[in-house]
Amino acid sequence: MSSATTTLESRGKVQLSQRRRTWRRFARHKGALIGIGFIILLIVVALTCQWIAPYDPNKTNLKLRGHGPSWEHWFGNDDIGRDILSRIMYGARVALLVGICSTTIAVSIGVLVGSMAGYFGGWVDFTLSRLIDTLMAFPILALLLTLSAVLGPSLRNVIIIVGVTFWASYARVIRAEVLSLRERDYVLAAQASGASDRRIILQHIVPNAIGPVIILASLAVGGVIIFESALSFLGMGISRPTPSWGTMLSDGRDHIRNYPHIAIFPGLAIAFTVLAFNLIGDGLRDALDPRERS
Amino acid sequence: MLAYLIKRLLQGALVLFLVTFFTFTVMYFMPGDPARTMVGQARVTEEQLDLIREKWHLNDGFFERYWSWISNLATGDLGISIMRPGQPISGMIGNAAWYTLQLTTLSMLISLLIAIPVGVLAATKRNSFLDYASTLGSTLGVAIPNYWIGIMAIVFFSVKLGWLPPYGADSWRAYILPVLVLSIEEMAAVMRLIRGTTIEVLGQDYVKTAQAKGLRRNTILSRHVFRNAMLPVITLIGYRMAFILSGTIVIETVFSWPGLGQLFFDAITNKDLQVVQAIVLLLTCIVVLMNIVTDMMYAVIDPRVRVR
Amino acid sequence: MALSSPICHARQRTAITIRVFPEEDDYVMNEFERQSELQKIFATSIDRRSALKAAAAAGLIPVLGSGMLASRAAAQDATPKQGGTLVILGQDSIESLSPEDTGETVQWVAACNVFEGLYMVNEQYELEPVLADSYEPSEDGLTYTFKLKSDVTFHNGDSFTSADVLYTYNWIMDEANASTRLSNFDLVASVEAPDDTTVVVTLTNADVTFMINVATVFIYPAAYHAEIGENDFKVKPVGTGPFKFGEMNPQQRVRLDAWENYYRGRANLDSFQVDVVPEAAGRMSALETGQADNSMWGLNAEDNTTLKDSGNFTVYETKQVATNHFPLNNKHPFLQEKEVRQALIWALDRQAFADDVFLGQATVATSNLSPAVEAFYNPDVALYEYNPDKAKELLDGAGWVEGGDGVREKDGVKAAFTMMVFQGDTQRRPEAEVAQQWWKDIGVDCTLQEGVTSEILGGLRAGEYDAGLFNWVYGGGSGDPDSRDTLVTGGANNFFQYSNAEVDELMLNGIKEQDTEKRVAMYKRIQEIIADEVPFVFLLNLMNVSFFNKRVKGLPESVLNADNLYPKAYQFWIDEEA
Repeated sequence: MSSATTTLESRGKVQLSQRRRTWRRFARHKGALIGIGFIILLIVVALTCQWIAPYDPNKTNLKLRGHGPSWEHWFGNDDIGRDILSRIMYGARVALLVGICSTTIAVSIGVLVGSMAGYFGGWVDFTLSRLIDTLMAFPILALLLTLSAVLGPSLRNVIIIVGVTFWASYARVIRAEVLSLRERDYVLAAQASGASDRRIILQHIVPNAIGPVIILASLAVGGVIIFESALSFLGMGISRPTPSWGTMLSDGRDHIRNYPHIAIFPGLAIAFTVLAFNLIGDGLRDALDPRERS
Repeated sequence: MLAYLIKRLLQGALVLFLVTFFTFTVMYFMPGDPARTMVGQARVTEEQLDLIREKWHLNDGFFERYWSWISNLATGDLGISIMRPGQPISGMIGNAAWYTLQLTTLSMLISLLIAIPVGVLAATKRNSFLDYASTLGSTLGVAIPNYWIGIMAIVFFSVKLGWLPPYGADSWRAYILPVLVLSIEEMAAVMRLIRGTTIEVLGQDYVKTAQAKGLRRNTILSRHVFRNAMLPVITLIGYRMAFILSGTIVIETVFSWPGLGQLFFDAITNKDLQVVQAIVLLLTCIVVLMNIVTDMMYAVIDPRVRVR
Repeated sequence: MALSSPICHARQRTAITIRVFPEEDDYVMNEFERQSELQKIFATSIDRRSALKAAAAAGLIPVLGSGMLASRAAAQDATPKQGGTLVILGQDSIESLSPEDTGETVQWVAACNVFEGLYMVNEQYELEPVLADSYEPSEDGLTYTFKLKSDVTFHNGDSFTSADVLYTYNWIMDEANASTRLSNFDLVASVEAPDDTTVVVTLTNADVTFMINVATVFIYPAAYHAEIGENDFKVKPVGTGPFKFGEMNPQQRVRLDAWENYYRGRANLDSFQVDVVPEAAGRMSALETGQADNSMWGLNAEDNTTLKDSGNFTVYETKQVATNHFPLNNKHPFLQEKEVRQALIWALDRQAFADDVFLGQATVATSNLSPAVEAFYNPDVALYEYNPDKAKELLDGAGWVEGGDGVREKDGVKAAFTMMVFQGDTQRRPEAEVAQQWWKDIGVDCTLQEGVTSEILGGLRAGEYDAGLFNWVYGGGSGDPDSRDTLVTGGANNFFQYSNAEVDELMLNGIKEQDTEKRVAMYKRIQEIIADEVPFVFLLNLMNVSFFNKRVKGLPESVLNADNLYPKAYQFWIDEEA
């Protein structure tokens, strides 16, 4: 018992200094810092947009149909005269909510399923692995569309749908990590000392397998945001009038010839946000996984 | 090897079953009345709707309907489409799949043709202009939604310049925009991966040994580096096949491309259970087979990998 | 798909006034003048037959001569050339070419070149003989006797006879077939075919709309249709029209090929093609570059202006008879009150929509009839000029007071409802989004939801949905204001569960009334009632702007209904040098 505890304590120290080194490596990655900066800015905008947005994002003004960028309206107005800048600001809420919440749901499910499959093995592994295979074999957007058609489009449903369909790849990664961790000394020691499976999984396995998942997840947030925008673009995502970048893009597509700015700005918003999350993901990978450092 | 293959095929069959069963369940509980969708704008009474439901077994219970779907499938009968009752589903899907296949294979080819050499070169000439440009390009390529690029491409090349047709799948010129737009994301992903793995392989001992032996750079590249760097790419390609439809649904919509993606979307909105089932079945088959083939290729390319 | 699979104006092909054929000299007369002249005559004459006589007396109806139709259009241009493909753009996939599914305009555009009825309503809103040579109504208006053409064959070689008409009409009337055209035949008692070229239709009630509703229905080839069944027929259509089925890929295109043995002579075009392009920018660009000749689907108001200014197109601007509207469920706990519905319409700045979104290519609707139906249109009804204060007043007065969340309520019922919008209907959805905001300002909560067209129409008919957004014809298809399937209690297309005893009586008596002056008064009264009770929120009457590339020749000088030009494609020809 006591030997196991000391091992853990010493591991904790190692982790601490490792964490410091990791941060230093991350901080060296300029792209990642820019990414972090952009996302923080975006979060601030999303939290404060009811005060800082110049206009009500749903306020229509037909007189301003398709007006281009101006001093009063920096990003111009859409086809029914709504202020595009304000809508982009409110749209950041949707993008971040979906991106972060869905990814969190997906990672949680993935970690749970993956670690169970890897740790218990046997029929549990077989069953869960087939479940993972099944989900991985599904064309993801097709699955999203089907589920969205069944549940009906709304912000909450989109978050849930994306969350419960995206976990398979995390589960697979975790499972592989756990398979190798399962044979490690400290796990064997914990098992020998009679710790419960739940305790071992949560205290020993998951913390050590989480690194690759964090990398995957940070890279996935961008993908989730793109999927949400595609879903909304196809009319099966966020219900109107809630401003979503995908919905705004789809509004703009009919007027792309006469008023291209209606589609350009939400497109740029999506691109920058996804780019920022990807840069953070790259930085994390370099920091957490020195093998792939470039 | 054979035993392994059989085991994989059996697992695949199980996955196939689960996927179709799941789709069936979801579609079965989809709100809305397929009978009403079928009559379209016809003004019909409840009794007439009941007749239709009766005829199409829409009133049958869940297991009854699922069993009839399975048993029909066993005889090669995919059922009748609600939205296009006069057309055999196999023909409908075959036609659409052909267009999607062209689109995806062409874009996959183009992205590989560009991404592989650029990725390898970027890895060998680290910190060169090419390296930075390709890194930037692949970072952007993954971040920008491809349907947005598609729309912008239509506006620029079709509307403003009038060079390329904005829609259709008839002439080779009509293929240019959708194929290129679809290949961007693929290209970015492959380039990134190739660069990473090449760098990794270049640092391996056997490459260093080969260099020490004085082997020519090109020989090292082709004999050791390229071969090993290709492994993850093959996995990626196999994996991407699962995304065939995901990638094309939106692009097909933007370019009015008569492929599987549009067919799937139509089927979903029309609650056409039979067509959705058939498409999901086809795609899952492709994914399962691709996964098996990928693993086999792995074994062929890298003798170190021995199948269990 | 198409992704954007909007069906727009769920169209209703009702129309017309009189059987008229101008001789070539008459043709120089301004079509609008002539048409309104005819409408006036029709509106003041006792019945259809005396209307004919009156019109003949006024020199408006020469005797029909065969071959006159073909020569009329051809006379304007040089000698027609053979060959070429006419490319029409559609917005939605073409799932079927059966006459059963012509409710969706994009499918109709193709089907109307494959099939023909005994008569047709042409682009001037005239009734024109097609498979029939003539018809003779009985004095009491209860029997119609048609003389059919004898030299017509179907695309599969079968000859066209009265048996085909008999088969078609009976097939539609057989309830088991759930035909989309069943309600057109609700007054038909029997159909008989005394010989190969004669068909006699007997009605249970005199119906002044009979020729429009029944005689224009497309005819099936009896033997072939009976053999392969309706489902297969949808994709293997055989008709008597100028073009026969070529190829069909629902999401891509339908191609029809000229039929060599067409009884009016082979079409000038080799092929008639409908390309499916859901993307608005794609359609516009295809028109600009000449990849396509015409779009059956309306463009953005801005694009209309651009194409008009380019000078490369023959342009037809016509008033639509359909009303752009929000149908409301009059049984809904909130919407059931007249004051509420009136408040909803007071809160909308419809003029701004017409001016700023449609750039003046629309007018504010006043009731169920469009001003295009001049003879019956009633401008003197309750008008609702934008006035949100008035709306709030009405709601306050009716006891709907604001709750904590800014939404009004009364007796625990929220002032809220859900509006269904056709999936991908990017052209009209903005109207709902704007209305949503205007209604929010008066404390009414409207939720938007997208759905499939058939689902929405069916749900509204069954009273399952609260509200919708589309265009529909509420009478006056072009001459006759009858609309008894929409506004009458229990009508098949009564999307609002609307019931008003006076409207019921006026509508049912309207088709029997022989005195046209009285008739006009009756339908004007209906408009008054509808304007007052607001069973649906009438928004706009839109202009229909249709473009044909200048290389398309054989087009008329002007039209009253550009949609009805498509069956005339066999007269068109393509001049590559133009």
